[in-house]
Amino acid sequence: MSHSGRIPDTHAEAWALLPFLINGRIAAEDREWVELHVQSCEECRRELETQRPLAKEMRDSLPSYASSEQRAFAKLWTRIEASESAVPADEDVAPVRVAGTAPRRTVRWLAAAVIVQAIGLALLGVTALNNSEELRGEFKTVTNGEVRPLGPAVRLVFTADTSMADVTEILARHQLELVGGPRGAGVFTAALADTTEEISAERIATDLRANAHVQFAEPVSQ
Amino acid sequence: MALKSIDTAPAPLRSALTDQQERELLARIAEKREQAAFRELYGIYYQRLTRLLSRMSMRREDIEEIINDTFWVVWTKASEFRGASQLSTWIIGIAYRRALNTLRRERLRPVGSEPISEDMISTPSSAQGEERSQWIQQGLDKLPLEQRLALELTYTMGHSCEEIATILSCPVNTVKTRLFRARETLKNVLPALAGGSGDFT
Repeated sequence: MSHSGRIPDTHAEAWALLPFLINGRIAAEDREWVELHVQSCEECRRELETQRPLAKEMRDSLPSYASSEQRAFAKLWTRIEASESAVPADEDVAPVRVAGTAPRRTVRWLAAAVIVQAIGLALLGVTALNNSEELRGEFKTVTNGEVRPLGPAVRLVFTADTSMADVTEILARHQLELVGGPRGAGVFTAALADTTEEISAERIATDLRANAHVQFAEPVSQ
Repeated sequence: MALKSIDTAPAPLRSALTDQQERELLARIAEKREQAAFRELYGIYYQRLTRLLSRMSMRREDIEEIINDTFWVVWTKASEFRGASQLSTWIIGIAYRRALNTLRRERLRPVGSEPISEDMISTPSSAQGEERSQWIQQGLDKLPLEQRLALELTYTMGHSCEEIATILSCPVNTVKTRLFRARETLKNVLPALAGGSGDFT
């Protein structure tokens, strides 16, 4: 028998490569000499007998989340569409349609978005009236485009089943105020109400993502 | 001399597509912004990444977020992939780094803790399978994160030593060392494994 190329044939090196002999991914130039070594090495054969069932058990043993893939992708796709539609200001963008979602869901979502928009407008109106001097030049009407918030801000999209009470609760819990939106794909902008708080937009977005009613949340660059 | 006498384990959890086919999907994403191609690639990696991240003891909500963050990068950077490595090592490497960042940020203990929750679907179909699964998991939980991942990438995901080195951003010899230590530790904490009987219960 002839061997081409490098043939270290040392026990230690063969031993190190046994896992890749087991998974079939050992380099072609190593396979032959390692297999030859194993045939003559009782210790390596025993190791193979030990590792082979371990490899099988590892593949067979771990639970998976088979049921959530579709939902997870829908969430990602919504995020992508929201992000891409949020970039050009004042652009009239159609509501998000994620593959696999029903039109009825979109209608429900739109209804929720209208309600949330009304809340946002009311909040802005009241705030502007109460603090018109302080905020002059900072806030515009929502339809005129997005306001540049003073403090940390996030863009977010609520899920279709989010109620007005849910929105209020989420904003209150995170001490946020709606300062813009909804824009294309239902993206709202919310800013930290108390700008003296030392919390980053990234942190707020991370916290918001943990909420089941928040489909998408990303920090706004200041 | 016949060299086929050494059996290898059943095929690991690998993509049904070749690297070239996966690259073609990526090209459709980069050039045509094609949702169908993106969805297909996502489906190919979803379970694999879920398993890998579960082995890192990530929480369910973190797993989904990391996978989606990873594919956010795939979507936005598809045109920047130059093909220096396999597509799988690029994608899995992104997920690995994101997971490390999450672990650091949340200060989660990478070992043990409360990884998986209510809506998981358990693969083992029998009580005995369930018991073996727990037994293996307990042993793996004793390993440092890097050793556990090296073992997972080898045995479950079927990567080569060089691919694992790329994913984990470490030298090839480091991969071998981690595997060596993992195997030794497991033999100590799972004595039945060292017996080589395959009867773990």
